Amino acid sequence: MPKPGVTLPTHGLWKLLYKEELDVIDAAAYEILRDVGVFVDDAELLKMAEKMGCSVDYEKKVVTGIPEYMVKENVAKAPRTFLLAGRDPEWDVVIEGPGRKQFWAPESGATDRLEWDEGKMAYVRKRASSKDTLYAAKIVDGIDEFDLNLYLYDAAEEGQRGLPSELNKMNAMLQGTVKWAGHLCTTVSDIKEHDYVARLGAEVAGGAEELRKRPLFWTVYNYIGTLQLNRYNSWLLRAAIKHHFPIMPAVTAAAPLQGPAMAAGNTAISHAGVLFMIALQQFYDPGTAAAANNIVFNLDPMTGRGTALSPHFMLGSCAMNQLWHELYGLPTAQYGGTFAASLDQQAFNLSRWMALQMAMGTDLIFIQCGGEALDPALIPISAEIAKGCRDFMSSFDQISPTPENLALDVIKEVGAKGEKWITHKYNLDRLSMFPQPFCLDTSAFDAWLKDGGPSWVYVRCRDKLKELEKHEPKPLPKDVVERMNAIVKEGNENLKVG
Amino acid sequence: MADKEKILEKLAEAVVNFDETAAMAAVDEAIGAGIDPVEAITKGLSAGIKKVGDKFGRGETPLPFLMLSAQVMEKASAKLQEKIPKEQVPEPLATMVLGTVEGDIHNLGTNIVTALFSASGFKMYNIGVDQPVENFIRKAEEVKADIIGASALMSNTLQQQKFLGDALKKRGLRDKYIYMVGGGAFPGEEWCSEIGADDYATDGIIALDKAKKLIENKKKH
Repeated sequence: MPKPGVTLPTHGLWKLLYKEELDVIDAAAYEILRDVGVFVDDAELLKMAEKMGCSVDYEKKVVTGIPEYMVKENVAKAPRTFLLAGRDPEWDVVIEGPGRKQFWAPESGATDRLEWDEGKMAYVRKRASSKDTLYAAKIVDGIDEFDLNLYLYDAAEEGQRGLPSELNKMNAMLQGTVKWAGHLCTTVSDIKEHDYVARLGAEVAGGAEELRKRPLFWTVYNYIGTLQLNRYNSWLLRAAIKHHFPIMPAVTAAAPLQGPAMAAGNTAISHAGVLFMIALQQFYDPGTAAAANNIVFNLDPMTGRGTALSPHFMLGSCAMNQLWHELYGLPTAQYGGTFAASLDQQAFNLSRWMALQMAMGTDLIFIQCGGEALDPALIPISAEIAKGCRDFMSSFDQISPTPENLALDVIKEVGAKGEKWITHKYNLDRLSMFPQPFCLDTSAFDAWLKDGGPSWVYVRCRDKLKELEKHEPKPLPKDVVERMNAIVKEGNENLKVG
Repeated sequence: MADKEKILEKLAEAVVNFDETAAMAAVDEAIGAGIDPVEAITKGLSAGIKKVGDKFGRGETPLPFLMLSAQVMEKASAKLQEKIPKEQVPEPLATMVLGTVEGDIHNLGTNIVTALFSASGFKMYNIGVDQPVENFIRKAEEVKADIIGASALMSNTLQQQKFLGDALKKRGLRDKYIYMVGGGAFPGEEWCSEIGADDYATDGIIALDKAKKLIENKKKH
């Protein structure tokens, strides 16, 4: 029986819009696809879009006139139930329709690692490599609060040397975890690098056909730029189609500097982009899984930078959830988060925004932390957030006013003053309704003060991290590892740039 | 207040309020009043754009306002410059060619830098996105640039910054230009040294500060 996921309640989740309102946004998305279109910076993908029935301006590289009937027909082919496989089937993520279960993982993709120098009381910034990918993967592998394992560090150092960074990164991920290994992202060398990653996955899965049945990762698209698939995203989509990798599509606009300032309009754009990508995927690769990225992105108008998530973002995410759950029956995933900043600021931002993602019933919640540079202390911080949310959702039923939950007979039995509650069997049997935190400091105030009043993020979480670093995932068989490393070596030789 | 002062204030105000109509009217007034067009630019329009730039640096005004003010400044300056003999047109602080590297189609950062630097007296040539190495060099040679700036927002496209640095070296042009790099993907000092750039920034205000220092150093030597 797979471990992952928390069963969601059947009602009570945060919903913003009536069906009629969803229909209006949905219609607006089709109008955008028809009249505005999507910029696609890849000749091959443009041809594929044309073959699908769209109008293509090859000079401007824009796909317009995307027919509504064609999109709906193809999106309908995406499976409602599917599997994201762990190396260990106990960690399989089983999606059985949208809004049924919720899954958690930390996510980052940081190109740099931040190490805290106790002596200097300052951060040291180092370029991250696949060694850091592996380091973080192993830690996440050992934390039960995380259902999946996404890369926290990019193989940026390899990329800087001109080596295929995705290949090196995915090698580290597949070796570093028995859980589903997350995101395959964009590369610099058309789909050749993805071909190598497919071979890696096949080694772990036991063959290409097995990898198709039990996908160990999926493809994730960077979403910067309005209604556009840059060439890297385009290559990635073609690779996904070729190798039957599931997709988490996103094509969005960064309000208010590169997209409409109001969440409704920006949601229509995000929705349009996802509709287009899933339709294209399903036209060429029907039946391979897709989960809509519920991102409705914004930037800070004061700085132009990616900002702490805003009401715009959250309202849009909720609307996207409803659109995809209620109109299309597909799950949603999110990777909104916060930019790199102090640990306490990130903890604050992430906890409030992830709680909203939880409440709106997002299926796959990726707690995006760090941004460009990651302090690994964010791993226990993310675990605390995930645990709090998981505990909330998994005990939701206790508020249902059933006779058992109301316990009127016990209330009457115990009577006023309630002295006997503390050892009453009714309560003793239900103490699990009051779960302990992952690593929050629960010591008495005086004890905490006597201990020097240590900061939770800077002291307690770092201490917890030391404990978490000891975990080792179940290793792959030696011969598989050897073949995987050989594939990476071959890829490094053949795909080196510059 | 003397008429001249009032007109200069109107010019500044129009830039601060990104009011193109008011700016052009103030330009006509300045010309009609016989105000030295150089003074109208430096003490009128530039005073306004400096105010906006400073506010943006302090986080007191949003980016779109800065860009709109810079656009008004550019149009109003162009009209005044028609009245200035070529040899008397004020020299910019420096001339810069700026673009996003090949394969990268992000332009928000370079647009911010263009607005900010224009506002601060630089002559900017923004060559746009997805620009191969050759285009940076060709434009720099054409306009006799002081600075070449290359932006990359994705880790995929960072290598192009190295290629540009290599190309400048190979052609013996490395010392002719100040080479600055930046963008959202920028990894920091180590990469900057590795690719042989003079400096880097991932923030427009910091970039401006660094560019001014680099220009100052170059002029001294």
